[in-house]
Amino acid sequence: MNVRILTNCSCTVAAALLLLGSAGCAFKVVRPPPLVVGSAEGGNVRVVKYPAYILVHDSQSNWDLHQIKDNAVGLTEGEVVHWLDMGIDGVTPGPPGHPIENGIEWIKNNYAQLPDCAPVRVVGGLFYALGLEKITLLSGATKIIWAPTDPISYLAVLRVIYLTDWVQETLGEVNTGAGHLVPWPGPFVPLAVTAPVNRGVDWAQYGSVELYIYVVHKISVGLDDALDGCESAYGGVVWCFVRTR
Amino acid sequence: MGVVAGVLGFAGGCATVERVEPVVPGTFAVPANQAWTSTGIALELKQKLLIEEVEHPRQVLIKGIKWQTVTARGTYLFDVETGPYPLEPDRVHGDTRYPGYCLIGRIGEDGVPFFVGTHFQGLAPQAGTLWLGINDPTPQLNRGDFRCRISTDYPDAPEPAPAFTEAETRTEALDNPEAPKPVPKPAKPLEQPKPVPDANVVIIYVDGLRPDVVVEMAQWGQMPNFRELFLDNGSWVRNSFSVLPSLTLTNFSSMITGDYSNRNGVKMQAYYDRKANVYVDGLSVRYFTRFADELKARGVKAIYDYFPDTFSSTAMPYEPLRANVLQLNLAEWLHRAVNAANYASNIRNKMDEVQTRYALDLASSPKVKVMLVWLPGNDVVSEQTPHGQFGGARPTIARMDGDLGQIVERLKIRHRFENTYFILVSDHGHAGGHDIVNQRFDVKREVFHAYLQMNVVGAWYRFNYPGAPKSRLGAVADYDGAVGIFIPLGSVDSGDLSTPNTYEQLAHYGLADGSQVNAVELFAEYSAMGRWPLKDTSKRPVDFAVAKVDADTVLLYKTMDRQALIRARLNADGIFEFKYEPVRHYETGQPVEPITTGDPLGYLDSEAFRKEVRNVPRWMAGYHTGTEWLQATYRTEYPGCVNSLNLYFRWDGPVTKDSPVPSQPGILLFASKGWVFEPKINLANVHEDTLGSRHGMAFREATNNCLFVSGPGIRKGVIIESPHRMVDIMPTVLQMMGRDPNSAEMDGRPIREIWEGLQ
Ligand SMILES: [Zn+2]
Repeated sequence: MNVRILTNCSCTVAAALLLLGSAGCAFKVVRPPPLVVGSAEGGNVRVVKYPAYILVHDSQSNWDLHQIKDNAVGLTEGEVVHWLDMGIDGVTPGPPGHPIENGIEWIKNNYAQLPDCAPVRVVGGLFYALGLEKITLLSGATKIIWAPTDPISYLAVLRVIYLTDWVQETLGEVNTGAGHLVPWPGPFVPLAVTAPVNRGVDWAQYGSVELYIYVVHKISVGLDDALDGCESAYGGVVWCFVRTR
Repeated sequence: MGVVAGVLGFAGGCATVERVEPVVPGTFAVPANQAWTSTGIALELKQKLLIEEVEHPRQVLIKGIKWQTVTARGTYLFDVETGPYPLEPDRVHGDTRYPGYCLIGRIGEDGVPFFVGTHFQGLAPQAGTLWLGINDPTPQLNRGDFRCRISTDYPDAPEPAPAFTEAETRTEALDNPEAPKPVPKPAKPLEQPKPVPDANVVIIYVDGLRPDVVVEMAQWGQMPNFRELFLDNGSWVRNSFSVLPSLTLTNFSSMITGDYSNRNGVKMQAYYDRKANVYVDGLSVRYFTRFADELKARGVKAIYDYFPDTFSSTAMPYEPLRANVLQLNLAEWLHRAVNAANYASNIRNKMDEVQTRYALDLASSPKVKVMLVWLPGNDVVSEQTPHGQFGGARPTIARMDGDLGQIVERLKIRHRFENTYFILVSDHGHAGGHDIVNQRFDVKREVFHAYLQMNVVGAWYRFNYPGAPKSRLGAVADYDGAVGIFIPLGSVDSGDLSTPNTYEQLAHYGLADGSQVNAVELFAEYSAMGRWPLKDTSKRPVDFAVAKVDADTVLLYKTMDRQALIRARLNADGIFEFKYEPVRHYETGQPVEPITTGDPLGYLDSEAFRKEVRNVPRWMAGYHTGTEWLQATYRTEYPGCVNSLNLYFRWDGPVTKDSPVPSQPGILLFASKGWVFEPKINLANVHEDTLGSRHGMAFREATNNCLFVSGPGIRKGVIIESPHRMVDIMPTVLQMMGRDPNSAEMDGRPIREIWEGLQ
């Protein structure tokens, strides 16, 4: 690198360091010790010298870009219930007890004790599909981070899939129930008719969930790739800073 | 205070010491707020001593706080200290084998403290007065006392009957020419297990859990749920072993497919993709579906394919992008995970908690019949604390017991417990921590750089050799106790990584200056400072290397003088059989030079091996199946390595036109006791972990895995001696679910001995 370029880049360097430094980004310069190679016969020693390395990625630091990304994304998954529990646990001495979450689990466990009949299954299924207890505080932000161009939140997509599943199962219950009223054995609408329809709907539901997970994964990996790029660029910037000294 | 009423104030030499008198005859109260208390009982050297906590002891309040309670057993579940504990003053904080705040003893004022807990039975290590105390460096604020009975006599245990092994009678009949010929039994169909109808199977997969450690902790009263479910009411398959190498993804693959790597194709958890020329680290998030995709592409069925509508799991080491049971999918897992861990980047620190929270959702769903719960915390912590599961991993294991308890309780509440089979399994053992703290061997610097002058890409980073052309590239998965070595075909500069070298090519491997070396010899026997001393192979990092000789044969290479060929062939029933042929100075095309001692796996010099096979020369002359080899070697230091090492270098999987061939390393290196293949300087990450215990190696400590089974019709409170391995789990699960375990043609066989009435 010649002097002119160095001067040109020092402003950028300073700006970049200031920016990343204020975000808590740290770096470490590592100089591997030279490698001394002794020959098998005991003489003839060769020494391998290594350049210095600049490390930026820190898997343990909450200020590492990857961690910041994960946490920003994760924020949109935070349940209202969870935040309330955190608040309560924060002011109660002793280990966290998650009172609201455990209360909800208690209700669910007790609901499950009701006799296994169609109305119980239908109502239980509806509550599961709605997933009221899983409502997040920042679902609006979900849209922005996951799908800036897509007006529909992916979380909403999941709920829609679950609700179609519930509708499907409820129709099945009604069909089975109505089967008692008709003279032929089995459900009201024979299985030969419902089975292919159900299979089709199932396929679409599984496919949608799979697509959702695929997209989430791709976005996350894409962001990681971008951050790797940022980190190596930052490493490069630090490198020219270190070399000038 | 009634408790103190029984304690006579007695000011001895030290003001803080009170002498304890029995509160009721024979029962002592040991105050928890002082370090040591004299019992006044004088012991002679090697005198019998029995200390037992009373039944229903009252709780001691540590630092007087009501949610920090213990009894004499102490606890791993909280730790409010910062300094070392009196029982283990040399251990750094957070890396102790014994629980904090437990009852401890010493003989004499200067005696070395020993662990008492709820039960101590042994001989006095020296003469003097017995003192009891609490394993707490700052006991002053504690409230309450430990109550125990002390006796200087106990009945001697009867001599244990010699353990019966099926092998002894079987090999006597099969392999000893002088043995009476067995009377042929009238052929009748083998009685089959009768699992309950509408069964559930819950697989608790605790990564890297050592069976000896979990049993020890259970005996100390630290694992109440585990003890009740598996030790008191289940069967322990004590001689269960992982496939080689004892790495997570290879063994998880064998667990969920029932096959060895020659049929599922998972050879390594990180590898160089020879087709695409990229380095694949199966443990990184980026590749978390990769191995599942590969299984599918190879036409291999896994647990989620056998139970398409009823299988569901927490996050697994790898998994397909599929919604197994609708509504219980990865998206829901992520949601639970973030909320259980408080924030996303904390998930990896709280994986067991996260997984258990999600497992409760699975346990609540009647749709889920087969459920797999992966608890990776133990492996992670073991790898980062010097003494692993004999140190800092124990609190994680103790918390795992609580996780198990929660899952069991949920199944009980939902009336599903009665027809549920539980399998607690670990994918491998863990080496180090007990008597050795591991050290690192940097194969990139010490061999690739020192002798091949080659750039290397690995699990952490690409480490260039200064001055080497960019294209001169090798690869290695440099973490854990086994690594696969990928080097270009024929010579360092061929640039051809598309196929692995054979032993012939490796033995005459071309360097940049045109000279040739034996690459296997270099990797097995050299560091940058030259050849490790041949006399004492126990001090060098590499245990042995393995390379492929031809389609059916591999060579185990410990030193030039200590090698073995493992040959494979198919028998008349289409089952693989193997011959283990110890040799020296192996060279392709030359007549072999057999050896009769010092073979790489140590079988020829093993008393346990001789006892199992009776006639060693006769056994060595023949071919035997993998099951027979496991039976012959399960009590040696290298259980069941023969078939596993040969199959590793094969690919016999279900091959379709487009079915990809697994990327196979040219050399497989196994670490010796006390060593791990890992760089000393981390050039990928600012943060550097402490080196703890590891796995991957071929020896027993790394391969003996947990296998505990419980459920309706499963034998209770028994230890099963006959050996088994990872591939047997999947067929056993099929059997529990009422399927025909043989219909899937897996390598594994269902475990019969766990069922009541089928011994
Ligand atoms: Zn593992």
